[in-house]
Amino acid sequence: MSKVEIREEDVIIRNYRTSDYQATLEILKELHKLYDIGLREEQWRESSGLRQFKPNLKRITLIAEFKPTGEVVSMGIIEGVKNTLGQYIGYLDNWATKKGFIGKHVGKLLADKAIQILHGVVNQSELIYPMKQTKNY
Amino acid sequence: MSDIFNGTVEKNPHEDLCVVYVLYFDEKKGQIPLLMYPDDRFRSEKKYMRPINYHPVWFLETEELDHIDLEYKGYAFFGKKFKAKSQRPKRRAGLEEETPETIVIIVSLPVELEIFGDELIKELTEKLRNQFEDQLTEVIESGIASDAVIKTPKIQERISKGNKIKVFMRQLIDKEIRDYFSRVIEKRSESPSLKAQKAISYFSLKGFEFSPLSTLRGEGIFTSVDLFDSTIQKGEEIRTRSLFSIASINFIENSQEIEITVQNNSDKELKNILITITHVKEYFEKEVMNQEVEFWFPQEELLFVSPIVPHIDEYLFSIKKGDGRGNIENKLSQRIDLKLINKITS
Repeated sequence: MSKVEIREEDVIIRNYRTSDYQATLEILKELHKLYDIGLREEQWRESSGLRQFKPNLKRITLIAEFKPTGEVVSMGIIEGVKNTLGQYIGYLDNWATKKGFIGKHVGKLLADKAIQILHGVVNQSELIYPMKQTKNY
Repeated sequence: MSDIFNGTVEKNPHEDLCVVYVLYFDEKKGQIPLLMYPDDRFRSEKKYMRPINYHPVWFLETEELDHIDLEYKGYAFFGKKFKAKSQRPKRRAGLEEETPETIVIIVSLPVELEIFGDELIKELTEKLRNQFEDQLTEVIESGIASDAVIKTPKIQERISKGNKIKVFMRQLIDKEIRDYFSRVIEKRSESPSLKAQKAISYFSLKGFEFSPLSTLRGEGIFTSVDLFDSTIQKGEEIRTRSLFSIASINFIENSQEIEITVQNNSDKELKNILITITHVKEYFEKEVMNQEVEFWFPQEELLFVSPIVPHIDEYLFSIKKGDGRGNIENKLSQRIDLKLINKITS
């Protein structure tokens, strides 16, 4: 793939859904190979990327989906951790882009959106959560 | 008849169904049971009465909340409190003959049947109150008189009178319970929720009559619901999916946390959702998690993670929805037993 920059309109930035599991695992594995992020496969489970609520912690996994092919090309985790003053402090974690899309600014597009969310410029409810994700349990 | 409460009592078939306690507040001794249905033998047994004595209904102001519940060792206890007329001399300074009696009615159901508790306690209290409110003072007097060492003919007459009223009260409770369960199961079985199905399964397990083949079917049977109705066509089934469904519950052993994945089944975004995880400790409900979810996308799955409390294995997970005007409705409740859920060691 060429080094042509990917434009904002070419990607959908949305919340993680369970069907992204394999794609995100592959991306994390690639990242782990390069930087040893301490990934253990059994720790990244299907539910790990879902919007998560825990006492004093909120977590969202953002996904960048490449519109023309529908593939997951980048991911990143936003964590809001409550500090001793009771304020949520935002962190960006595990920011990774699929091989072949590195250097095309997809990670930056994702990070810009994440920062907007943390600043409250973008309400989380403006993110897309695809309704086509239906599953029978 | 006066000895009806002291004689040997056979196991009542409705014992598995529910137990009703009628209690009053004695200014000298505290809460005293007036009668227990269906078996009156246990009202003097401390162990059996323990959850009753510790029920939070005693802290309830009669005119405030409608009723309060307690879950204890596989049973749900629904308590309701009201005031009744009194004419008996009180044994504490400052109280007059007219000071009303505090009556408490507690209904205990197996947790499988807790879905029926709210309505049952309301109906039962209403009927007992309508028919016996003025006579309760005599039942109380009879109870106090039966403790007297020397029973004069007058005292004996008082005891007898109270016992007679109790017999009628028991008859009313018995009738109300039969009618209620028969009616409510029939009604609920038309559109069975998971809880109603669970309750029907419980009835079936305990041998309450459902089978169309049974010789006991006919007039006077427990209910006319057919558990296996061959006439029902598949096409007639109307399935209404609940608003939320639990996709998975895991216990993470290393971090000692519970992970619950829940899906919003509706096609609209939900707001003002309150998530709680509680457990019961020494008869009081304690929260381990109380989380507000501002918005919940259609079909979205959310993950709730909560630390557990050491040595506590049972939790209650609840989802409530606010309407923005201060009213909160319970949308889903799920008991979690750590011994029964999937364990993850990573």
